[in-house]
Amino acid sequence: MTNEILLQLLSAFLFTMGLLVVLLRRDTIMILMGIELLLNAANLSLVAFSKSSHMIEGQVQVFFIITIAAAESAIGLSILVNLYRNFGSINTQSATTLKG
Amino acid sequence: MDLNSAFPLVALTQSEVLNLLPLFTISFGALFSLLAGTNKTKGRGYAFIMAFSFIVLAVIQGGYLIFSSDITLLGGTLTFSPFTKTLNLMIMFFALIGVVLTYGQDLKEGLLSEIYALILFATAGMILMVSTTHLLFMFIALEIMSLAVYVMVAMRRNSQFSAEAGLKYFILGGVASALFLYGTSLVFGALGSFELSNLELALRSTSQPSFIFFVGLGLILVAMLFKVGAFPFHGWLPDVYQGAATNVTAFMGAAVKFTAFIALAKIAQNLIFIETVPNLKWFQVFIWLSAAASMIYGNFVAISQNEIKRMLSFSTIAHTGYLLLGLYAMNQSEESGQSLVLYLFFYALSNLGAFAIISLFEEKNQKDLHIEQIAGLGMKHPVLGTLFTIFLLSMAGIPLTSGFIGKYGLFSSAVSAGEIPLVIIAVLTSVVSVYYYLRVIVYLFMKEGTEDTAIYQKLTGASVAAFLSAAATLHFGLFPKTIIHFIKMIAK
Repeated sequence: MTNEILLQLLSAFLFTMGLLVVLLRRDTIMILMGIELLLNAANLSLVAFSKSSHMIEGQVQVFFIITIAAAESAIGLSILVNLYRNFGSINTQSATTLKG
Repeated sequence: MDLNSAFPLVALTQSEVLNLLPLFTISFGALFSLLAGTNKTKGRGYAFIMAFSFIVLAVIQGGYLIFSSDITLLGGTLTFSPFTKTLNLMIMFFALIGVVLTYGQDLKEGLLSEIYALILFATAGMILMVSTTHLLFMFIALEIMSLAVYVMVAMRRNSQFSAEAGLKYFILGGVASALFLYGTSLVFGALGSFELSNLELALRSTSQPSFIFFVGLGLILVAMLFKVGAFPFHGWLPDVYQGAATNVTAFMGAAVKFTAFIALAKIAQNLIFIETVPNLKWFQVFIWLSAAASMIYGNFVAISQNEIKRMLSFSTIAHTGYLLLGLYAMNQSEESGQSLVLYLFFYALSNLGAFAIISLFEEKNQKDLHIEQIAGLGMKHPVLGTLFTIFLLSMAGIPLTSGFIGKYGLFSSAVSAGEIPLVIIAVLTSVVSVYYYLRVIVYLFMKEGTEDTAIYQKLTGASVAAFLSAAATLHFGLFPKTIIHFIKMIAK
């Protein structure tokens, strides 16, 4: 097995782990980390693909994605603070006022 | 590697600067609006004036530039053709109504002055998103838009509903964005490009693309269906629409849906509707199923809702189904692309208006307007009642409103494309939808008011926004010829 395939398998594994964290955990901090893991798995896959196809495009884009991931986690944390102030907990199960 | 040959720095020509001018205006408007909002006592008013004047300026610039020559920027990444410029103009018009709608509402709901800047940031992201054909650029534009909208949804800081809606939207939206990104990466790995036109060329030259491509395309399709709120991925939509402040809901339902749908249509046209690859058939079938399920689910669940915002959010899912029908018909005929844009535009207008009226009758931090609360409002406030009726009739697709023109165009182009079974489902379910729209009208005009009846909140901004959207709805409903010809001419 070549390095490229190994890297793709690793990023697919990380992506699956991220999805599982988002789907299964009830703690919103963990969910936030899961979303970060998803983005970083995609980053790894992009870098590996652009390395193997000798195109710099994908690697350049990764910088933009890292920036966006940072902005996203900042917003996510502020939403968590807001959640805590309103519900007194950051568990997803505490926030269930909207149903119908 | 020589840096200058890899990334050549080219100065923008005059026509490029001109075409980018509305985008610059909106971005600078957002920054100035942030700055103006820092005033302690009158921050909201100043921020509103800044945002409003800059967006009016951008609309004027956009209107002037619509027939200027086509340009492509960044090696074909951004395209400004008359068609995309028209889409940009529509988005700026929604943003204009959104800004006006927020004025007054911000004080009532305790929204911070930054909401005006956020609307403009989101608008800038939307303009980039409909103008680009590069998948990663599309992701960045999508995030610029979504990040602003997450904050707007969670901005009623003392409301539990808003906090919960913000959390749900953030988590699910973040996952959808990540799916889009990973899908893009896999498509890049399989076909070696991010550019939609190059990808289409690569697909047409091979009948058996690798397995990775289909996984990537599946992830992209799921993410986009999620963003537009189509059936299997609609779970977030009612909660978020209900929990957000009503002016934010209006802006989301109009502008965000418009943008996401245009992006989905672009992706579908370039990557999914390609006859030479037999396996893409399955993706088309999935879109078909999703369209049918959205129409049926949205309309039938909306019947049992007693809260107006929630009911309208389920009807949004149904409208997504009609739009997916138009999208599916694009497979056969180019013409349904035009009717898709028209339908989106008309639906967004009546959506903005309907939520504007709701915000006029909601108290601070109210969860939703119950249907009992609007009993007799039409007799008490005849003008507003009539406007609300116009918007609801437009959504139901009754003649003399723009919704009828949109629906007629969409269905007839789908029929001429040969999608008869789906059109039958659409017509039948839209008959069902008339029931719950008319139910609201019956409550407005034919029931006696009780002590629970909602109180008129006297918001200038929302009233102006409602009048603007009603004028547009009626105008395009009564005199549709101009805009239909315009879209046809532009699309060529």
